[in-house]
Amino acid sequence: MNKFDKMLYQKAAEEKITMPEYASQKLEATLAALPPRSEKRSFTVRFTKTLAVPACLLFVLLFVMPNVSTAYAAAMEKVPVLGELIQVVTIRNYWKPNENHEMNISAPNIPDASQGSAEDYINKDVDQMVKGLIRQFYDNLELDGDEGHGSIYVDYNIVTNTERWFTLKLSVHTISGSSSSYYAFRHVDRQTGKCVQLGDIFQNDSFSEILTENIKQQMRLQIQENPKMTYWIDDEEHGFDFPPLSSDHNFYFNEEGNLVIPFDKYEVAPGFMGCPEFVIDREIVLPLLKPEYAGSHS
Amino acid sequence: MRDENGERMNRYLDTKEEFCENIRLYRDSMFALAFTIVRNEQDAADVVGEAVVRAYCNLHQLKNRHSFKSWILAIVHNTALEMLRKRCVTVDIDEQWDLAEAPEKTDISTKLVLREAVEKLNPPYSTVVILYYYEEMSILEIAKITDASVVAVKKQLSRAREMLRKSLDKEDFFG
Repeated sequence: MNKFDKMLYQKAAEEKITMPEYASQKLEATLAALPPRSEKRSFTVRFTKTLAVPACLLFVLLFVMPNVSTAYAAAMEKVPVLGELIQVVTIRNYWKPNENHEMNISAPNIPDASQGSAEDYINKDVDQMVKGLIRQFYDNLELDGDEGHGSIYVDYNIVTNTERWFTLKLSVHTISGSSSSYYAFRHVDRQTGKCVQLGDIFQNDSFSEILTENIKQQMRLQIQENPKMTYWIDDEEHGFDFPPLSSDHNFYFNEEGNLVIPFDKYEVAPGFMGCPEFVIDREIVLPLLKPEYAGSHS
Repeated sequence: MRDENGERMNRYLDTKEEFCENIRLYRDSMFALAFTIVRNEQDAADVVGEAVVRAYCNLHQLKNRHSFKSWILAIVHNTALEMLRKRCVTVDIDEQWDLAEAPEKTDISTKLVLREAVEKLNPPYSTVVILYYYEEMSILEIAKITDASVVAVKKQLSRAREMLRKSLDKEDFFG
């Protein structure tokens, strides 16, 4: 190695390139959004023979049976420790036809939903959405063959399950050339037994303009604090400016009881910003809410 | 467990958490490589995110866990090039830069740091410098990551060295 080479190595070590903070945050968001691994490659290597048999039995009882039999899953949900106010079972679809395509769908289903109820509506709505995604997966597979990549991951979690509210969050992550993520929230007002959308909880339509302006102010503040943050607002050159919130826009109430407005990837910002969420101050939300919803969400 | 470059990495890559742990270990390397190709921090962050998702979906294709760094950097490299192609940015990676006609780097001050000089190079020269000097990878590893032959990487590195030598004021740079 000559002197010039040595000095290049030395200088490179001194000037180590590090990922900027905002990019690290985005990376963490990407990592958090990854679905759990569907299989463990070294499972057989790490498991001793003595543990394998009871473990397999437990695996069949806890994971295989609920996915094979809805009745079994429903029965398991009724075990007091696992039970919720509204029981939800998981219907799982997993298929990996080749190296480049994977479908891993864990869809919720509320058992014993009576015809025409909010729970029944959610079941049908989710079912329709999942069927659409599966159809899209098959279409892509047919087009791509063994070339290209295409994967769909669907998972869900129950955000709220109280005597008053039931909120389900469906997370959809698709990969086909580039990746895309979006969420669908479904809410049931258990007092009225009806599905509720964002517009339903407010007294009138003025909520849309007020919340949208508040979100834009939060975006501007974030950009001011960190110029690397990018949102598609105030763009005079290209005219990017997201429209006012619609009455069926996604929302949920966080643990503190504050209203949160989530956006899908690419909806209000470039992909590296992930799926941004904005918490709206309680002081802004409370005067706009219908009396029956003021204070009912916490 | 240590990888092929002697860096400590997670022994297993079976769960999401183990995968994430290894990604965090190499995030700076991934970002540096992406940035040197797309030349924009936001796009580089986008490339890293995209590459992570692709790597996760294709983790089963990683045959040797000791090669995780090379493997993930190869994915970053391909993802970054794809982004360039999609944006139709004209960066001729086979460009043969005639050193005799290379523009004078009058804007590079004598106190120039190496990174600024590297950023003035075009791919693949900037790429090989980042991988060779900053990431301390071997010629063979770089050839695998960039999908080039060993001979081609050697030539690129040699040419990149010459360009750097020309750009940097040696007296000030080396003190």
